[in-house]
Amino acid sequence: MIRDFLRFLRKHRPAQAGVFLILLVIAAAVLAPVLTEYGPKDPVSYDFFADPSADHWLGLDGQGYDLFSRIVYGARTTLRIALLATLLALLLGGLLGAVAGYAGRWVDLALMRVVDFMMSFPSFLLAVVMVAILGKSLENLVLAVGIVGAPLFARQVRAEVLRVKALEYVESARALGYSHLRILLRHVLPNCLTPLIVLATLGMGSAILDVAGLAFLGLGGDPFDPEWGLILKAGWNSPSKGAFQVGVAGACILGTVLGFNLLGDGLRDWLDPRTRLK
Amino acid sequence: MLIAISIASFLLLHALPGDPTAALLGQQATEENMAAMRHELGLDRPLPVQYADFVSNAATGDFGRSYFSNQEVSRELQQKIPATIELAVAAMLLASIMGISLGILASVKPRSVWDFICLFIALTGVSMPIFWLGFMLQQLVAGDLGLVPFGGRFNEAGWQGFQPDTGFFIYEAIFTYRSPELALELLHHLALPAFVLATVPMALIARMTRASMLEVLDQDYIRTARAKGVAPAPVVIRHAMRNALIPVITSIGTQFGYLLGGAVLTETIFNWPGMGRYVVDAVIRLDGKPLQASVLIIATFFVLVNLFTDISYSVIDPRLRHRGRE
Repeated sequence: MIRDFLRFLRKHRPAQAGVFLILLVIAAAVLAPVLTEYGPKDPVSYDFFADPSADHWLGLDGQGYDLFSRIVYGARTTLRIALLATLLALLLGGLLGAVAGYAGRWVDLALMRVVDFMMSFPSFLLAVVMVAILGKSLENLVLAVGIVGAPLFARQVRAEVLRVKALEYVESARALGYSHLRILLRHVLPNCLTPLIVLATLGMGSAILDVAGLAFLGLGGDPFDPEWGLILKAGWNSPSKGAFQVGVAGACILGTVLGFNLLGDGLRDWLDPRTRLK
Repeated sequence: MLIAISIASFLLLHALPGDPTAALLGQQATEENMAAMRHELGLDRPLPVQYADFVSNAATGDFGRSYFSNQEVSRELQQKIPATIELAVAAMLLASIMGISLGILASVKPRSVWDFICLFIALTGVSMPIFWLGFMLQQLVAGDLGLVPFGGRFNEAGWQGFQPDTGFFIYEAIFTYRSPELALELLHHLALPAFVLATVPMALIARMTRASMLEVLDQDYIRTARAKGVAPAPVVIRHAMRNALIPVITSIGTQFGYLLGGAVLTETIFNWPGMGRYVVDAVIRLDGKPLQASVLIIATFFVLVNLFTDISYSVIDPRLRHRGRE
């Protein structure tokens, strides 16, 4: 399967670009301590917003930290938060969707009502309200963005479960007297996973955007944490000098989200037999 | 659905951390004072009773007072809601016009330069942190080029006589004040925020138009029209566009919901005194009543928009009218 994808990747330019961008960010996150000698929370000097120099590739930020190391360590924070939020959305949504799809009848009806209800509100605003209830911190951002993202996954999983449940092998598993839990976990769900890959990849992109947006609104908690949305906000707070800082942080967000969206679209093309033939 | 929304927004007030009475009383918050206050606000009664009160008050447009500003929430909302509607409608118009044109240009000649530009805009558009785009454009267009103002709805110092009854400023400028200069001033302020807010829906619309057009252009009846000698432009406009735009137009309805989310960020950047900013301020201040009212109104609006979208399917596409429900 992986070899198959690599072969597909060789022909699909946009997906290549996506993989490149994502690998770049992952490399920055993993190699952060190698790439820079300054820690993300080590004040360097009081020369706020100093211009880029040989020592500080992107200059200093508004708090006197080395901007380059903030950005590089920010890649860690951002990726970690987005990954956790997407995983949470996947698990929560997957659970909801699987139970609803497999159980059917009133359970399905009730659970899907909950999903409809959550979708009856703009997701970003819903996340804002959730942070209000939970309190402002990066951990709660993960929770809010994850919960808000869950309904999409729930719908997809439910649709898949409904499709797979009707297949004959599931019927034979039932005839063998396996428990519902075993059928759902071992026989139905594994065959529902492929479309989720696309959704999760695209979900990473929107999770990064949502987290950055919430952080920008001042709902991110500790402003000294190296996170791109927070770095952007710190620059925005002093518009005359911080424009460069805003530019850099925003470009990082854009690049990373673009990467995930490109890869997500590529994956969709790869998994869709109709486009694959062309 | 609406009942569920009203219950949820009612419970929201109780889910918020912190005790509003403590916040209201500040230094004088003794146990006794707080209990008295709670009684005065009706917070000591059973939840179902409070809920019934909330609903009957909300139905008459009474949402209580903000703990922060001590203003009536309904009065504040009267100013905020039109500001956001003005912004959202302008953004949606921009997004539809630009998105549909881009999508059609791209679909007429697939794999051309236009197609590439369309795909590029569509992709970056959805990946763009719009608060970043807003800031950069603000620096460039308002700052360096000086073409438009930095933010706000109009220059209050220059237009002191302008005291509209409703919050729909452009409408008021044209029909009540009959002042083209004032309308221009308002549009001038509106241009950049609307453009920024339009980015994401524009990208989605362009993408959808392109896909839908490509599908329609591939169909037999288009080939028949071409074979009959219909010129290329009418084929695209009269024959293909009509069918291709059905899914696009209906999707515009659902995108309004997105706009409300995006409006929060755009309003913050451009200092636009709208609904989105109001919600965030309420969240930051843990101000329950405004938050409760906003959530109720936004969710209701969203449900109505979705309902309207569903209905519009059958209005726009006559084939659906006879088929009945799926």
